[in-house]
Amino acid sequence: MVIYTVTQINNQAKLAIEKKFSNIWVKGEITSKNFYPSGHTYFTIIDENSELSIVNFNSQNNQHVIQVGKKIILSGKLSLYQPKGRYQFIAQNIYPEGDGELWIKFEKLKKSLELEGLFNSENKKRIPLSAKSVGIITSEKGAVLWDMIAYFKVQGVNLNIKLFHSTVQGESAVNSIIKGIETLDKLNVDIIILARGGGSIEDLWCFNNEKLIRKIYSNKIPLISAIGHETDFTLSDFVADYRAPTPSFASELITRNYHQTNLDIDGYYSELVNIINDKLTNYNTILDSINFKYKIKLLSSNLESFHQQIDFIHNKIITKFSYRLKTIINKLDYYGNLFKVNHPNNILSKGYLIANNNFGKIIQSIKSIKINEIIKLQFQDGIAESKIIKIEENEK
Amino acid sequence: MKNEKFENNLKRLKEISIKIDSDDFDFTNSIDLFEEGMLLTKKCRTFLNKAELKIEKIILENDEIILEKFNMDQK
Repeated sequence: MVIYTVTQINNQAKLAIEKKFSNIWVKGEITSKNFYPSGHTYFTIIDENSELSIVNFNSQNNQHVIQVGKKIILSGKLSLYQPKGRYQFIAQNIYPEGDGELWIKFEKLKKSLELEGLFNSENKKRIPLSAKSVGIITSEKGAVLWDMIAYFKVQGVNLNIKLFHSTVQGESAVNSIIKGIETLDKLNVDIIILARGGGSIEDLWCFNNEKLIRKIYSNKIPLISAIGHETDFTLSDFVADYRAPTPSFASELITRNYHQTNLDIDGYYSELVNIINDKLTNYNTILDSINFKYKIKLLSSNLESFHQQIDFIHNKIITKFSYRLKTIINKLDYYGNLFKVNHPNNILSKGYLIANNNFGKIIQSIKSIKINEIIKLQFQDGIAESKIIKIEENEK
Repeated sequence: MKNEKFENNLKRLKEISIKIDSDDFDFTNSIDLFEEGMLLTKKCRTFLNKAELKIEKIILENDEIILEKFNMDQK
């Protein structure tokens, strides 16, 4: 016999309950409710005979549905709270009873498409870095389109937008949206935004249509699903290549990518210019150094030539000087000889006399003497004073 | 120039900005890369920024696509 502790039995019961009652649907009317700041809501639903405790975690967005007296349909699992040994239903989705039938369909289709792999992330197409040509499928009458246009205008994004006006509600919307996707596909836009404002489950129901989901899946151009508010989920969101919580968010995404790409280009440009400038500076330094060496070489070669010139001039000067020196020496020799030949002693030795007056001046003409004047006659070997007795001038 | 070509140009521009910084390249190669980069920068900027925001409304007439200028200030 096995004896369980209370904790053990509670744990076993929890496992057994969760295994048996996971992913089930329950319906009932809300009789009481407690919302906690943690975001959890504890409430009770009843039918004619019984009641069931429910907990909904992260329940902030469900408060409009979790109202006392309201009939609801829940999806989730049955569990057991061990410390109290009390079982409770953990609700994942809560829908008003009227909408509940639709949501059951939604969940069924979602599950089967999911199993087929239509929502797999590896099948999603990449959102282009910068979409230039943007296709928008939405109602031209809706505020959504004008909000998007206003945003693009303010942000200065130079896009080429192709608008496909489509109804975005009711059965006819499905074919219209599919036509839009096919047309934008033909126009080969970079990206498609499927947009619509918020609404009730019935309003958004066309975006859960299987035919549309399969079209989005097989389409070759990346598609952003931007439908309703942040809390609204459609199957189009799951199959789309990107889910924007709101249409405004889709515009922001396109704009952000566009500006970022422009910044990236500027960054690459600056990098290229800076690097090439650095390289140019380096090469200029090398070139300057080569140029300096060349100049030094040129200067030394000039110096050699200069030296040669000096040598040449030096030789020239020496040659010229020695020639002139020789000429002078020759002249000196000549005048020396001449002086020797004409020396007065040489003349007197030949029998010639030199006559001087009383003042010692040589008498060169008969006209400079007078009768009775005493003159001196210089002989080779002495001087004789003489008196002029007669003067006879040569005939002319 | 379609987006695919633009993205290829952008990718090449990024490659060049990394490659040119590498010391393995001689100066002639750097100049060639720089010139290619400048050309790509110009092409990418032109692609992104030429023409202003333009909206055309698609009209289908017997499956023929007609693009009609859409007045952005009509509301």
